Amino acid sequence: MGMIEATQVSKYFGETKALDALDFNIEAGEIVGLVGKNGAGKSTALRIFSCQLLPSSGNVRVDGISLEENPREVRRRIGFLPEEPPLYREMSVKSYLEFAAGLRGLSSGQARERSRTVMGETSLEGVAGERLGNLSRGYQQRVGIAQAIVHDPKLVLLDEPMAGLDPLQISQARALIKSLGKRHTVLFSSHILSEITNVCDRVILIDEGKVRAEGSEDTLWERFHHHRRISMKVRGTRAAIEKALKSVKGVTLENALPEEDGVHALTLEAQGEVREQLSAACVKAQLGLLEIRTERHGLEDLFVRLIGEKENA
Amino acid sequence: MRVVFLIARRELGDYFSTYSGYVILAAHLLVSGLMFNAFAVGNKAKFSQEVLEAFFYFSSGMAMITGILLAMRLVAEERQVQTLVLLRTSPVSEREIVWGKFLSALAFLALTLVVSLYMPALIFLRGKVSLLQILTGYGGLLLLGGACISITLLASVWSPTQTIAGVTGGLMIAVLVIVWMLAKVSEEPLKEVFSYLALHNMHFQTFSTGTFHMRDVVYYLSLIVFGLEAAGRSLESWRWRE
Repeated sequence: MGMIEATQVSKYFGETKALDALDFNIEAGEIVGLVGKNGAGKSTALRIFSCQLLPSSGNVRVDGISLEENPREVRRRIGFLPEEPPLYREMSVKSYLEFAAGLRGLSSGQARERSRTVMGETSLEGVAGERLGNLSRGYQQRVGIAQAIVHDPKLVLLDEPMAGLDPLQISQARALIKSLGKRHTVLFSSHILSEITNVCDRVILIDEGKVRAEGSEDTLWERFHHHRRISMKVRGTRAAIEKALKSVKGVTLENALPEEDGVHALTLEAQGEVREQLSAACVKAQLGLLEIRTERHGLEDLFVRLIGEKENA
Repeated sequence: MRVVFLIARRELGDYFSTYSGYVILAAHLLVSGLMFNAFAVGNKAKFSQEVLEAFFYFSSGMAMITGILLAMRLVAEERQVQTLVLLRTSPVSEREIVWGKFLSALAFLALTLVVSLYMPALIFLRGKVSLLQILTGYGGLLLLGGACISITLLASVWSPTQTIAGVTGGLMIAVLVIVWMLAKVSEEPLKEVFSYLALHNMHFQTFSTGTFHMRDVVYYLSLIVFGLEAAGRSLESWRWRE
């Protein structure tokens, strides 16, 4: 049984279709990144999974429970952080977390205990007595995450948890999300793909309310890339290098920068794995091959390609 | 029920931590005190009974205005600052949310009424009015204020901002107040309907004389429950309307 089972979920806002037959499963214990450009339908999907919205059609089950039939039970199992953390600015961190825990059914003793624990997990002990309105954006985001996990839910939903954070805070938030995966199933959204690299077990790319692709970052890249970029360092004349490269099929020289001692730093676009042929061509042309490697493209490239392919189709 | 009190307690704390509570309390006391001196006591001799009735008459207006001021922010403000999502994603029903908010406003209204007790206490000490008469009048104020809170809370669920909620709630209450005028110029059976609906004239005035009818209590309680149920249902409908 999956933690989230979304079957043919569509959502209309008037005439606008925000989700179009969205279909995916998330297994318990996974950390999944929901990725898409602004307006792709990520927040709408998360608002449905967090029981704030009902789908116009389709079914969603969270931990086997239908959110249409039993939203209260679903809400017991989830913790949700919206894009703007829902903080009562006049409350202290401690009293806010105790209030959030109480809302989720914890007794006052349990609420105090759990608040202490999550403040430790999210490094908030130092600001426990501070008013939420006085905290920096980074701390507010941490409090937002802390309220989402204070009742130890099975599923944690985070909408753009790194929006508005500086690079150091992003790195801390990534570490925090990764640590959440040890105890919870985590689904979080982002439109900045580099933010989720190395955090997720799986990525779901959505565009115009539809799942365009899903899988681990590696799997997606292997499945969708048609071109790869190769970097080489070769000693020899420019003419000899160009001649040698021409002998290998499907290779285009994009850039050749001369360095010291007759070495050129080359950037190539190639179709398929051609590193062996390139090495052989260099040896045959008596060029000095100092380095050859495939450039790893990030999710950003992959996403641009996927959306680009669709728009060109 | 526990969660209703939890929400009510947090809301109540909010009135004091944002100072809005102190401002409402001070304004209520100031205006009540001025009106007590100007209209209830006045400058000519009166029976203490008349002074007490006049006190409850203007206090009913104050209770209505205070009810609107307290309730207009309850949902609309949370919607504006996006904190309502915490409640809506917790295992709490929409009915529990509105009851929690209502109880906080009612408790605060009760506090404003308690601090105004010194005025009837003066009448009690210097004149001839019974304690029961004062308590009945205060019961009426609480019921009238509670009804205004409930109606404005409904307006707060419907409105995008607290200002719009205040205006909408105020208009709804104004209609219920002046509906007795319609009763005067209408034929039966509308006359009976309008008379029964009249928020103030038909149902409050008996309280200020120290007596009450069960039908008035039922009227106010029905209005409170109706407003809160409608607010809960409206909040629930956000799930499929938004």
